[in-house]
Amino acid sequence: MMTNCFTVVIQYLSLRYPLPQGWKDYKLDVNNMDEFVKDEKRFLAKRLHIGFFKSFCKKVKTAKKDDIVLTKTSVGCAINQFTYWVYNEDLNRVTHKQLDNDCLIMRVQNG
Amino acid sequence: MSKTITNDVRGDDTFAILHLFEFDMFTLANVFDETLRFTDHDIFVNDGTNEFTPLAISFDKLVEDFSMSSDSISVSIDNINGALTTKALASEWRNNRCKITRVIYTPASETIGSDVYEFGVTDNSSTTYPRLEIASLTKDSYVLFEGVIDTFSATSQALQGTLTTQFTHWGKPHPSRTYNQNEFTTIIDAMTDVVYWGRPTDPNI
Repeated sequence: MMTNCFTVVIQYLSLRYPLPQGWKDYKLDVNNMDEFVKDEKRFLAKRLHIGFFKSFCKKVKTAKKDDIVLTKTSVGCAINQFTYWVYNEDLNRVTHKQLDNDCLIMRVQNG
Repeated sequence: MSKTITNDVRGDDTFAILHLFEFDMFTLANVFDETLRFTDHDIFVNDGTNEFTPLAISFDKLVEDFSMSSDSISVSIDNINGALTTKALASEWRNNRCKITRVIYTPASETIGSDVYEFGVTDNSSTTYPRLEIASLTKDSYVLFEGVIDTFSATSQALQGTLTTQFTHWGKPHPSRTYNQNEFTTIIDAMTDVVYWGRPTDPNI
């Protein structure tokens, strides 16, 4: 299965929270995301990843574990209020980064 | 506390060192909030109970001597994000417990896929960030510094604090004063005077 930072976060969150299967024109299937990965550049370029999470998340200022961390080009998941992990496609593994002011933090409603 | 490096760790020349930092945080209403835990290691460190967040953190030289003074140490946390600054300014740091623990350990190597991690990481599934589990490693750990947070300053880019030991109520045992302080300003003056106290020094009187 093809993976990118978005699909890894979706897979991680879907084990813990109820997630929508789609948003507007994008029908996401957590079991079959290959099509989505192929369309990744267009998806990110249009900031659709932000719109997708905004449809069922609320924006927060301070992060806590499992909050979604969005940047212009990546989707990650908060570890605590200071750091978040994100899937690195080049390394083919998860790495951690520090939160900064460019990060948009969202929390699953009732999460 | 012991600062001895045991043969368990010394036996392997490739021992590594890291530090664990703990800061107790109280709200401005003086209610315990949480304990912030950081490490100067590159990845998360888990000691079996708590997880320590990797941050660029450093501290200056720690000196111990015989002087009757309270040892202090300055800690600098760089490259922090707004969250720590917000936390720092919305909480009470001063006079709260802080602790620096030094851990000297024999790094375990672990092969994950085609990569060998000599620092030893666990939980390296695709959806879990790497972290070092030190609970099961051969290690020596001791408290390097424990005290209270004296002062701190925070900006959007850095946080600096001064930590002070709790060794503040010091005193040396000394003989009780047996001289009249109104007559002699020091005990040496009393000892070298020609007469005992209360008598005039003029022998003709």
